[in-house]
Amino acid sequence: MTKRLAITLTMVLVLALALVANGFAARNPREIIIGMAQEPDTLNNMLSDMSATSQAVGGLTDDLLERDGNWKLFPQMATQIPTIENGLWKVLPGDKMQVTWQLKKGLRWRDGREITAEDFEFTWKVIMNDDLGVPSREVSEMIEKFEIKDKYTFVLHFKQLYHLANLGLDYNPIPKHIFEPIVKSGAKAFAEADFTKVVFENGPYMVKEWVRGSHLVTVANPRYNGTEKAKVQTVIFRFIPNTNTLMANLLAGAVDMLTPVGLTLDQGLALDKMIRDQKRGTDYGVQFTTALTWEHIDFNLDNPWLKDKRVRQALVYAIDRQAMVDALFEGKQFVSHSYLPPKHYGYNPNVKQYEYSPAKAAELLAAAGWKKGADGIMENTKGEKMILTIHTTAGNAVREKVEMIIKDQWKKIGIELKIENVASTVLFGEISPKRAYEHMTMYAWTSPPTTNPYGLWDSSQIPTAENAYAGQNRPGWRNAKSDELSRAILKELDEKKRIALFHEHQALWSEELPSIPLYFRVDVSATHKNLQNVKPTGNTTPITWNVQNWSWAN
Amino acid sequence: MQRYLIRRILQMIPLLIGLSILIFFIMYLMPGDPIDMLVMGNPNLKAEDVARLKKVWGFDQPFLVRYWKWLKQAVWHRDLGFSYHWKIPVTQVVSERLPNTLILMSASLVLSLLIAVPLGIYSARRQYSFADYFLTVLAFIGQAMPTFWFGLMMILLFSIYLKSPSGGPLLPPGGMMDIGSTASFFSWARLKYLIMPAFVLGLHNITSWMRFIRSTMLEVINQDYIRTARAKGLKERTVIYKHAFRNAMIPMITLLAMSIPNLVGGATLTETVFAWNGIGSMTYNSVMNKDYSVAMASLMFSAIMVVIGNLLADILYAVVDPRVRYD
Repeated sequence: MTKRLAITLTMVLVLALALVANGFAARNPREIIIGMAQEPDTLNNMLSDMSATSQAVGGLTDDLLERDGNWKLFPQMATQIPTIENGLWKVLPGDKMQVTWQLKKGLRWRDGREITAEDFEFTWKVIMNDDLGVPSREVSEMIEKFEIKDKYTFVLHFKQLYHLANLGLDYNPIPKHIFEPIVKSGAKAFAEADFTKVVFENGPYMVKEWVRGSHLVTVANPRYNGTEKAKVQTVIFRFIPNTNTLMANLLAGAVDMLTPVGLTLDQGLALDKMIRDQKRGTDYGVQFTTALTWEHIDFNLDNPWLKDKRVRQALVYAIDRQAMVDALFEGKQFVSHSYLPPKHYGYNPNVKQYEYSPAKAAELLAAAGWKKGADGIMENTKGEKMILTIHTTAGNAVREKVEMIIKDQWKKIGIELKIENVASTVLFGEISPKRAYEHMTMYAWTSPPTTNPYGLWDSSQIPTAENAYAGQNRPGWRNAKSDELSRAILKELDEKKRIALFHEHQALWSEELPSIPLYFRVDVSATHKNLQNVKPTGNTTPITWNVQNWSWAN
Repeated sequence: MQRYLIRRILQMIPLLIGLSILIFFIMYLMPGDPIDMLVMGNPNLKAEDVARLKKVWGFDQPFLVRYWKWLKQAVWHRDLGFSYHWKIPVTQVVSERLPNTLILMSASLVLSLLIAVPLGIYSARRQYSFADYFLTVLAFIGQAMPTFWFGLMMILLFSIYLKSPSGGPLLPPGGMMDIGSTASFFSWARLKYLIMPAFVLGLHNITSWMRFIRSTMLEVINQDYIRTARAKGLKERTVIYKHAFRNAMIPMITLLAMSIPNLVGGATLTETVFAWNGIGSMTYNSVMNKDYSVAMASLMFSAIMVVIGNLLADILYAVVDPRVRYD
């Protein structure tokens, strides 16, 4: 019986091998396969907050302006960027403003209809429709009137001063002739609109097929009349949820590139090493791009110990952050000194920097009234021992390592750290947004490149039961000077003056330290060496921002 | 039997309603809703925005209102609701994945039976032989091996180290089909994607069933009626397959019936490692994304399948074992 089994098995194997012989086709130069660890929830990016969606939609939609790999704005559908200098952005008496947009002529939707100012007016109305559930309306709600001058020109009337009024609406436009009837039949119809069929594309690519859970195929849009036509006919997104399998797909040559929605830093470093050692994956290169994701530890500033600035400074002095990032990230991610990354236009490189100095930490703690007790732990005059509690997302290996390092280093100056990690849903659903922590929480903020201090640091944005815990100033920082600066930034239209305000705010912030700045994360992407012009951004602009320029070298 | 069946089916109704309340309540207890998650990626959202969005999606309603809405919709209108995450009806989310899961799970089930049954019988017949010990060791290794690790090792071996004659990987490293392929499920173009996940998923069943069949076979082989069968001069084949194996199969029925829920429930880890778009990963992701309606649908579906599987096992007992009677 075993003999027969063995024969059957051999036969099956031989048959399988014979069939494999004609299994795989050679790589098609007219196609790019992109691997992603996440799949878009919907292609309606007004209703999606997923990074996977913006990566997938990047080549499908154009907007008035776009950002390039260096975070610099360039006009995409607009003829130029409105500025005060070119007169398209006007400040009126009573702190009102007018911003005039001129569209390039002959831009078309995927179905051939011309794109006009009416589409933008309609988009603004959709954003402002309470029933449709479009999340962000930061810019749109400051517009009190939408005036159509002619087919290609419209004027946005702002009811208040706003420093980012020349960036367009909150979302890219959608076609009025398609969506007006949909929106009329209700919010549900808008949410359910099938974006694999409905016309919404005005970019160099359009949707051909979306097999959920497997792949999304996009092809060059023949009617595209914008910046540049697509060089490669087909761009395919392949969705592979496990990042190890994703890496295996790259090594097996089954995908040509990985977007930042993919490898972890550890995997990126491992892949990079494999390539450098000429072991495997030698056809690929790994890119590490500093991102706008800021890892930090929030203090609870209502805690009597942490209210004292000297204690907060001492805690930062007592962490060797440089050694930490060197050890954990091989220097690919670097220490942050405030909440803004170096690529941000308002970045201040000259803020107070806290080098590792247990001596300074001890000095500051002594000045704040803390002395080492008999057991080596700091005590204050009331006899309270400094035992601090930290929460972060359980299971996040990097954050857990950071906690261990900090615990070890604080122990040296007599501070005990109690680690109480929780599921991310608990941290982000309860503890952090409701300020339900005694001392500290560690997590990251991801912000757009236009980020400003108001949302995170203005005292009006402290979450409380009264405002249904909606603000983002979770440490609870109340500082009159900070409020003054963060509010002034919103209204300062002169970029130079605004940058000066940004600088001043960061200097104040790093002196006061409402949070412990740890490091900025990097985006890890990988690209086939023959695939040209891929420029990762490290911000919310997807890597596909210039997908039409990607091409294969011979 | 008929009365027994009717009674069992009627008992299911309060059981399932109770289960649905319990599942709904547990999900309601999970802190945070999708809008809270949305805020994490967009620090610029204001308090008014959060309140407006919660209202649009109904996350501001109390537990009982939400549950009643769900129950009414599901029972009266046979509508499982709308997926917040995918922005499509739940029935569509499920129906896109159900065939994938059925194919993967039944392939793995058939594969497991085909390998486990002969090996189990063989092992029992040659008890304490080298082959028996060898298979026992293999069985323990197979049971102890974590699925995701084994899956990754298979990918490493068959997709990266081993190449097909045309230069590509021998077996595709995950996924379900060639892009743009319209091939049927039974063509090589699709089957090559099925081999690794079906085997990885089956390994656990193979090893545990092999041990199970071995022990039940051993029990049966030592019964008097087997000795009688041998004594009356029957061929060994007939003794083993007609007399021993048939009786050994009876407890196997419970195992098989209990694996019915798995058939539609999917396998989260294997599906994730092999990028197989099935029910298992859908259930997991819907819970993680707080996609309440999808999570409810799939968890209830599993619950119903467990209940039906149990009933089926009880009925089959009566069919195959004349000693079992219900009235």
